[in-house]
Amino acid sequence: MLCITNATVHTGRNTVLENTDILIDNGKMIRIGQHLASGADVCLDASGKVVMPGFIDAMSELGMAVRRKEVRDNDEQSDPMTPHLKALYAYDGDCVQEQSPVSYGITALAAAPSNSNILGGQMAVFHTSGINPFKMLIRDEAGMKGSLTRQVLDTYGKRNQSPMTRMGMFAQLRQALQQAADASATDKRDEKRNAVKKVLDGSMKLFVACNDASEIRGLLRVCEPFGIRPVLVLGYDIHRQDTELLEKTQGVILGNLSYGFNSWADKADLEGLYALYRQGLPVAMATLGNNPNGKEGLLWTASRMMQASQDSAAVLNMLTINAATMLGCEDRIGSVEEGKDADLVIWSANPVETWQGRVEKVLIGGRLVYEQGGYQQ
Amino acid sequence: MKLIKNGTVMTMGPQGTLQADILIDNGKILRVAAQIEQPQAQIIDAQGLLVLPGLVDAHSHIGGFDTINGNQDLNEMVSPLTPQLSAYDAIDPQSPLFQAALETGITASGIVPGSANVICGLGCVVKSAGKDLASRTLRHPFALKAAVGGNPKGVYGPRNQSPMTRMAIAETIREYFRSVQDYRRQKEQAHGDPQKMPKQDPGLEHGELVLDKKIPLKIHVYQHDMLTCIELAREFDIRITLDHALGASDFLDEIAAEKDRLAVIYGPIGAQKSANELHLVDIGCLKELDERGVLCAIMTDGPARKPWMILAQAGEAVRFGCDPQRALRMITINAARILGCEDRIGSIEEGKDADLVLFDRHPLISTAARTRMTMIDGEIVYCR
Repeated sequence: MLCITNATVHTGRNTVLENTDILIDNGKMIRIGQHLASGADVCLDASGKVVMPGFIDAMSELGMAVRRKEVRDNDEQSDPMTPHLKALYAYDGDCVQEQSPVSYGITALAAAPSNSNILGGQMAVFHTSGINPFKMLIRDEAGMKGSLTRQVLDTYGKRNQSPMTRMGMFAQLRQALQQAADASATDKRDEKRNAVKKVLDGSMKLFVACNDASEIRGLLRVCEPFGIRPVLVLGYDIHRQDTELLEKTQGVILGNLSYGFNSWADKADLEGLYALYRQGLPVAMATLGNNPNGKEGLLWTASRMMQASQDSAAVLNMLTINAATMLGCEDRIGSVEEGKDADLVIWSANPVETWQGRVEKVLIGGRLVYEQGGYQQ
Repeated sequence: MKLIKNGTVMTMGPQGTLQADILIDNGKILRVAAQIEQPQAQIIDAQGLLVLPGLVDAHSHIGGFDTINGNQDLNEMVSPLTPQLSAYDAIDPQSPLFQAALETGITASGIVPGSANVICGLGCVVKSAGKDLASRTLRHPFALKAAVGGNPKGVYGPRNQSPMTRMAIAETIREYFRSVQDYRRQKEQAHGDPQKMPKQDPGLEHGELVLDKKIPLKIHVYQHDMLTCIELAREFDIRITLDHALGASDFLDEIAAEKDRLAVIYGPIGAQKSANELHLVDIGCLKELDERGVLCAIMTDGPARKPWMILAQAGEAVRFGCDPQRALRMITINAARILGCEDRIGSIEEGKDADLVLFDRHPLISTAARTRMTMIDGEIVYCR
């Protein structure tokens, strides 16, 4: 048994516990409280340190071979409709470790198909350290990933294939949903349709990348007749007055803001998004953008939300429990609670509030997977 | 006349940090002292705010790239040698990217050609606001831009043209400066006789500025290519800046040994790591380089990163060990010195331009810090 002792623990449930111990056994947090060290074989002294639940990159391409000039394994550009494909098979332990998300406190991510397809396939939530992706897996079929961005049109339109326009894109999405809704048991087997049916019956949420308001409105227009409440991904063009999103969506995963050629990010209205969050709209954060971003972007997005909201508890929720809940993994990750996976990060100071917060140690499933050292980030 | 009252002034200059008022007249800082009274002045209340010199971005392309329609005017990809070009001719002073820079507090940028060619052209230092490009330009040229490694290789190699390799890139730079030396020798041997003077060559004239150490060669460089650059700098006895410089932590000794002829302009970070040029990402090396006396700055490479990324990256330097005040120097006075404009900008000193930025918290300690006001030449150009 392992015990983290004397930590200032931010639980991710809007509480901060001072001088607290966390007892870990068999990869789980089994007790959180005072004076637990006597039951442990090994202690990690966290006096003066901040312990937080590991951050969750709620929509990610990390770990799926996004190196220059290589085929990106989450980017099947042969067909704009690939709802039957699984990111499970794209995620590579070596590749994700090379990107080192743990060095920025990210212990889990939702591996997602790219923004190239209208329905790109099924997301899977993984831990960020390990070699064998099947052992790193937290949840397969965590959601259906779609995209209504220009990237779809740039991919297919230039080949003189559909969709070339937004008309084509929305029509194809509507048709896919309609065909799944109309399917009967006697129909010929169709794996794509079977995958979309899981969206219709609610067993998989629909996560759709949208860069601007017209893409968001179009998505909601298509989804409404089918009773689908999607999660909006990237979500730059969302404003205070967009209260309909509280009813019509299951939340927003805010995308990367740092990359300069991503001009859609200039429309991000984080004060407006925070106002909606206060009214009950779930908000999480992601490294995903319109380009291959590194892990640093997650905390940079958090800093932008800090500047807009001045509310560090809310921002921590967006980095942890809100993401876990959107991804259907809140039983295992996203907060410091007894019974959950011991995915914990020991920081020198609260990184949501100060640039001086640096990762000192990272535990995933109770195992020490990263210790600060050297120049490599 | 304006008077900024009751702020905490981080001068980045000899006065250090102090509680003081700043009197501004005719675009210049007139006085920095406690409790200045000046009835004629417009008062700006900075109670509870930090007053800093305007931020300086030592490597940028704003005004020369359009992030909406993708147009660009800074990569003339027709020859690996284009020293005759100047970024000044490409800059759209109306670009919205300048307004975006003001929202963060960047008041001046060193704007250079892109890195498609080996010798790319001249750069100039431009303020983010003002009447017109000419009056906004602090220095032209401030550097001759060059590039080594993957960028020029990636442009010319696929065309089966030189340079296809790092071997050819080093030789291209060497051959260029030898040509500049030849050109200069011909001019000297002419002894002022117009008949014997070589035909005037603007590209070689620009190289002479570098050989004369009037401006540095500003080199786009990553990882081990830094060593090639240092060797060439010694060979031709020129000043250089190592721009981008990811991977510098592998060569701390080699860089520090040449600190009198070079400066490091680090960034941008935030892309995924990849083989070769993006394999080692190490912004924490700035702490060590700074401590060893190497002049260091941090860039946005605008518009490759949003303007606020100048603060976020300086924040990352702090995360990895830099003292916040030292990191602030890297985006103010150090950058101004690298651009050769420290007589005008980079610190709050009497006689310097009134280019200032007001924050509500220390921007390299608190992630929640917001830019409240930006001023250029004493005019309020952004206010939140």
